[in-house]
Amino acid sequence: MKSKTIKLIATFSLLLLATVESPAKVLIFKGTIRTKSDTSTAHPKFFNLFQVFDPDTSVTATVATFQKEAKKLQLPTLPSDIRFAQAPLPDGKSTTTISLVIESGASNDFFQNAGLHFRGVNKALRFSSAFAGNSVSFPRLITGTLFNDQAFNGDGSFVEQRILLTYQESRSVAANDANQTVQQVIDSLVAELKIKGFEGPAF
Amino acid sequence: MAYGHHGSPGARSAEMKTLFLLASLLFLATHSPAKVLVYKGTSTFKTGPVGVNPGLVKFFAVLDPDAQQIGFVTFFQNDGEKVLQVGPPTPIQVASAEFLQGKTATTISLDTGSTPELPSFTNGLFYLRGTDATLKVASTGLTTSNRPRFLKGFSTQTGISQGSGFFIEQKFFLSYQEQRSIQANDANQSISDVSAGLGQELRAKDFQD
Repeated sequence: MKSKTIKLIATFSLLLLATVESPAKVLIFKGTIRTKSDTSTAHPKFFNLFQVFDPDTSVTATVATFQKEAKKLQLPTLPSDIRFAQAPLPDGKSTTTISLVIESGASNDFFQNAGLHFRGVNKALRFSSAFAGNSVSFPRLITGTLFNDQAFNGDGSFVEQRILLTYQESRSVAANDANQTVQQVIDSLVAELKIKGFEGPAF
Repeated sequence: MAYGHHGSPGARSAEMKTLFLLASLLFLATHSPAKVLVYKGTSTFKTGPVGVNPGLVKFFAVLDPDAQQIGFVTFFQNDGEKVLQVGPPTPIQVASAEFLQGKTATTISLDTGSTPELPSFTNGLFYLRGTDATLKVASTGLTTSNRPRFLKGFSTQTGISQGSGFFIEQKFFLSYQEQRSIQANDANQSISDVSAGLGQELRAKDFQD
């Protein structure tokens, strides 16, 4: 009788532990960017994108891919700081916002105001193969805007971007099972894209 | 007309008058830096927690591109009350960029956040853009300005305050108020003068600070 009770308690505890959400390491998203810009900036109108978040260290990095003059190009970024916040929504739901602002200069002739604002409704996302502590409360779908408004020597330019990202569960599970950092995930994605013919742009 | 040309006095006088008239006409047709541009528009909100801000507000925006300032007079209804908010002039950045079909666009932007020191922080952006057109801005003197007739944009704020997360997302649409702008510039008014006048006008319609 005591043995059965102990087994029951152990099973119950394991089940409880399995459902407890855990801080995730890296979360990988794939999506698209649509761009409007001034004519002199001549930004490509459409990008595909991998974006990797690490909410625990407040870091993100991306690999964007696009085509230019029949060439397949990729643009990786280094991990950079970003801010996360969670806010309540109706019906017991919550949302995560992801944001960053860059500001420099203050005159109309020389300034830069740039930033990003992403948001999505939180869900329980699986991020590793572990039996317990394998999910995190984070959006499965993220939408957002990026913009860059600037002037240099009185010449203005702007870039406006709309982003849609979806969570890549298999990739994230594989990355966290391998204990990868954001940089390591980016390096893997770059290597994978190179095999598919995407080269870094020549500047 | 060449250097060293000497014609008759009568001919020279007529020439001078023509040149003066031409210069005056050219001067009058030249786009003028406007003093203030008055816009009216609407703003819609999405917020978390819900109810932090009203869903829809109307507002006037008074823009002075040369002074790099903008002022807002916001008015809306909340729980049956007519609410008025007259804001002070706020610094902004204004730029012009080449846009489609040989036109130019004006952008207006501002970082509205605060220094990000975890755990509390606020990241905020304000951004408007419109395609430039020839706007009438005054009755006499230099009467036009190359600025947008319509402005569209957004403002976002998100962060953590006293341990609680929040976000505010706004979308804006504004249209140029020609008569109000001409009146304001003819009277040489500043942003504060225009905002004060709009506040008085709205108080007369029972909007309360």
